[in-house]
Amino acid sequence: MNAQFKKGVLEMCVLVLLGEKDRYGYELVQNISHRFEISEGSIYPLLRRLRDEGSVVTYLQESAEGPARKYYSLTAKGGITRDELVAEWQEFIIAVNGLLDGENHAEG
Amino acid sequence: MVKIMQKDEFLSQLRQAIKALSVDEQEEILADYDEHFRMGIADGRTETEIASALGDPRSLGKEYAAISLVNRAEESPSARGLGRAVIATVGLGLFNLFVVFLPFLILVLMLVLILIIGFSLTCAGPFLTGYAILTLAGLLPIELDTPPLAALFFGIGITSSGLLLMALDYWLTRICYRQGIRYLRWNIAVISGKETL
Repeated sequence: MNAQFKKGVLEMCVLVLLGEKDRYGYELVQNISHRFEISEGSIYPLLRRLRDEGSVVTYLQESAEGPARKYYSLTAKGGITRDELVAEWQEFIIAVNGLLDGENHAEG
Repeated sequence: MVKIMQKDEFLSQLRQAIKALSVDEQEEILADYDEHFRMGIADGRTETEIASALGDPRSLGKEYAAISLVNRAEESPSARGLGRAVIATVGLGLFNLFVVFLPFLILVLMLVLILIIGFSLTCAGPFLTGYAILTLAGLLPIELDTPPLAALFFGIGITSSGLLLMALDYWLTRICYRQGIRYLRWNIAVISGKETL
């Protein structure tokens, strides 16, 4: 998939995944890269920016397998951003799909 | 471009690229990738696989450095700080030469030009006023086409417009600074670093 498409939706994907439950970085990366190809490293600058903006908070939690993991949790502010992005995305894909299906073409 | 790399080399290249950041920030960033490698290995992947899926550490490092410089320029505004942030952002992609550097240069030149004009007008006014006063006082022969009294007020007017222009320029500069920071942040988040995706 085109890289320009992905950069825009990556933030929305991360916020949606964190809306389900708190997750650690690797888990987020795996969840997304199973669905579409990304450069896995780019999630971390994004997470850092979301934290700076107050959309997510982080905390460390011990894991059974070894050292503590850094968990990311969606804040109320992040939830609002997520809802806005999802709404925009849905509006956008409906419009684009309509175009692809040839709806309303005659009206031009 | 795809280079075979192990965890140590990935982390050391990343460390190299973010050495302008504070030590705390560096450690935090490196810890994120260190954790990623550990999780990946526990997941049964090799260091080389994980590193190549992560992408180019230098590009990632440049993105971190640019964000950090933009944050710093916002927290403590200075021409030098903004300049560094702009250059770091331009370094994220050739395209930014046209959408960051060029507009920035034009804007700076425009603001400097307005300042120079304002300053010149402010300085020119008193000369005219002074000349008019000396003429009115009879200390100088009347050589102006304009009546001395008109020249006096004209001089005051010129100075006032110069001062006004400089105040306007100051106000414009502040707005441009704030919006410029917002634009850089947006640019880094949306446009730059496409190559790393």
